[in-house]
Amino acid sequence: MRKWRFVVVAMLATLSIVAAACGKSTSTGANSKPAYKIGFMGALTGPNAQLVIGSEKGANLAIKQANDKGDLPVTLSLDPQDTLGAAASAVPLASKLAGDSSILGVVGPAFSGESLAANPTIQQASIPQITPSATNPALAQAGWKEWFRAVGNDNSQGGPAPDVAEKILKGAKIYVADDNSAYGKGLATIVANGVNTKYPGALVGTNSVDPGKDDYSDLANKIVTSKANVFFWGGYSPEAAKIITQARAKGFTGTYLGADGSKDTTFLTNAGANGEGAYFLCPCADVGTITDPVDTTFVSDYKAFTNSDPIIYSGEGYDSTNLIINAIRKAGKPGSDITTYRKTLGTDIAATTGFVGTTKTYAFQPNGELVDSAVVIYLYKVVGGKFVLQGKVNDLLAKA
Amino acid sequence: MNISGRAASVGAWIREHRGWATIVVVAALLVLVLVPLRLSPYSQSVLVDMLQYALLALGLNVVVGFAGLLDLGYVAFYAIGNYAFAIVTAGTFSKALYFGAGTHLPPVPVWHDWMWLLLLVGLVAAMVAGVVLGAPTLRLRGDYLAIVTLGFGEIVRIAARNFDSITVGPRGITSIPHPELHLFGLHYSFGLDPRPYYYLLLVLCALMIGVVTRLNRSRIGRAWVAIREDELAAAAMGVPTVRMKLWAFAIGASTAGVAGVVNASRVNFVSPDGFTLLTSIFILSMVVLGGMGNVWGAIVGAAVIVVVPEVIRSAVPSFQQYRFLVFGAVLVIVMIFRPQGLIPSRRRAMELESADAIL
Repeated sequence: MRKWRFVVVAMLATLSIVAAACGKSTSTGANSKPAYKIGFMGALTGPNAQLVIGSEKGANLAIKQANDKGDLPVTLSLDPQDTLGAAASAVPLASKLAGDSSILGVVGPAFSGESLAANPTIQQASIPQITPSATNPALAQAGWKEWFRAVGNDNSQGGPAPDVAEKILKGAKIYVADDNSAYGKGLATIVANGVNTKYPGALVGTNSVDPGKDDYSDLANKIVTSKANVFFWGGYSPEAAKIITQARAKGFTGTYLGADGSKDTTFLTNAGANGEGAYFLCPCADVGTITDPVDTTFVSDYKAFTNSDPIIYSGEGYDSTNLIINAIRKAGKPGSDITTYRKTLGTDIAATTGFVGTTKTYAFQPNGELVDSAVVIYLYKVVGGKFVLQGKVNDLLAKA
Repeated sequence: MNISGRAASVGAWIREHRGWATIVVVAALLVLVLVPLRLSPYSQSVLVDMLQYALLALGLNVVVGFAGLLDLGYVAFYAIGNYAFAIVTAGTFSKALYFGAGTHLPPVPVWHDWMWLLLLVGLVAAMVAGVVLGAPTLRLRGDYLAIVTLGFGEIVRIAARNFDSITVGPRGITSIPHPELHLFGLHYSFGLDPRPYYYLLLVLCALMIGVVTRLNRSRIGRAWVAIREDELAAAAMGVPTVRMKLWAFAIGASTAGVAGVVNASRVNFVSPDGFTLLTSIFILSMVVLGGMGNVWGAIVGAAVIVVVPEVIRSAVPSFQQYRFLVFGAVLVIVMIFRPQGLIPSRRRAMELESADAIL
């Protein structure tokens, strides 16, 4: 009896694997061009996947368009690797990509922690890599030659926050809190220091809380008793929604100011009416709301390709992939020495000037960061349950 | 034929055919040593991961499988090993101990020459933590012990998050050096290549297996069984229960500390996010899946849990989002059909079977 059950289970397991294997479509048609891949690393599953899926879809779209256009010396495909956003699981995947001679470039890793752990392996293989969303400033200081960042770092996001709070939101008193994460704490420290130097006395309190809790009434009380009229949150959206909801319940009437980590749909749905009027600083361009011809074609293409609107970092993922594709187009067909070819791509990307992407015009510093003029920080406001673009922060500050 | 019968016959076969058994063992060793040379760096890397988890599972197996103490905060000792190595080598410690401008403790020595001593540092740090936690809490039993260890795991993680001056808080410690070997004029740097870590872990696992199987057959091992089965009866028979449990805890913790040192030196990056409750549960499920109280079970459990998701990922790329679903299903199926684990301890299997018979 026992044996039979085993046999049945074993058969079911085999069947399901075979079925899954058959479901895999083999889309490589008759094509004389050699096949190469661009890797993608990020949390494709798990609680923070919403910050990554957009750039993966963007990368897929860029590759599809390049293949369809037909002017590439190779046929490209995307090789997505789900890192779960964790440093430990990113390392084997980095060696997987580094050991694969058909990988010409890597988009990602999407987060900063996993980048620190995985990048040395990728860089050792001289693979050009562009991260669409890892914003920790430390990444640029590691001396990686073929590494680039397609967004502004935490310094550039946090830098204008004090001015925005004081001039645009007219907040005389600012409370700064963070979620103790690598991202949130770094950002909140930059903002708190900025307020202290530029507007002494305006900072009425700082606090660090642990993420993943349900009850933030302690923090909410502190915000209310500090009589702050602007609350800055360095952290992600699930906590942001809980904190603003609980602070409003305690009588907080000021304005919420957040950054890219809390600017996603989770905030809108979880905070509901309490999120109305919240402001966000983000290096991410909400493609679709900016009226730019390049941008409108991207939005319609993206919608046609994925059946959904672009979300956070869709544009950056698309641009990062296109930067690599552009370099491949220039470098021609890879020779037998793949390392030299990858280095050529890296040099090409480093020399990029005036590459017009959907989110910005790209040019890089020697350390892989965007040049200052290319970094654009946008200000968004929640109006009627949607993120509405207010404009570029620098323009708004000049007017205010 | 039931499981215990099969296991007994394997033992008998070895006793009767010593020559053949030696050949089999040598062949197995050769395979273990040579196989990674033929694999891709990715597979090597997965194997390294597997061995690292196997080492952790071996340590936890002593606590959970042998002594029957449910430890839900095992990852804390792993974290302590990681941080011990990271803090000493990356120099955050000496930076934290600045006394005014310019004067601080002696500069960081050239740790590369000391790398092997640092395995001991991690081992001792974790063992001390194990004893410090164990001494007051091992008087508790069952659920209460589980809750206290759960709390300890969280305390270590949260302390690492907030102890900015030494652990660099949530940003984590970077620029941890790779190990280097300097022995009788022989110089070797581990670097990013997964192979040296594989062999290092292979040696550590072999050592651990040797130590654990010997311990299990010793007086201490029998004391653990007695405690696991009935603590009151064991105490009544003169077994020093708290001291024996402390032994189990300290051995488990120091193993995790060593695994932590290897991990930190390999990944070069340590942050509190790597040591969540989920990691503890992962290691625990390796022990349970493989077979509690059996050394080989712990290794097989680690192999299944680390390798299966990766195989699914590589074999069916379009299926990779669902790999944890399949993985969960595998766990459930194994637990339904083999509650004693894949390679159970003979004694535990007999307990489960006789329980069946009574019911």
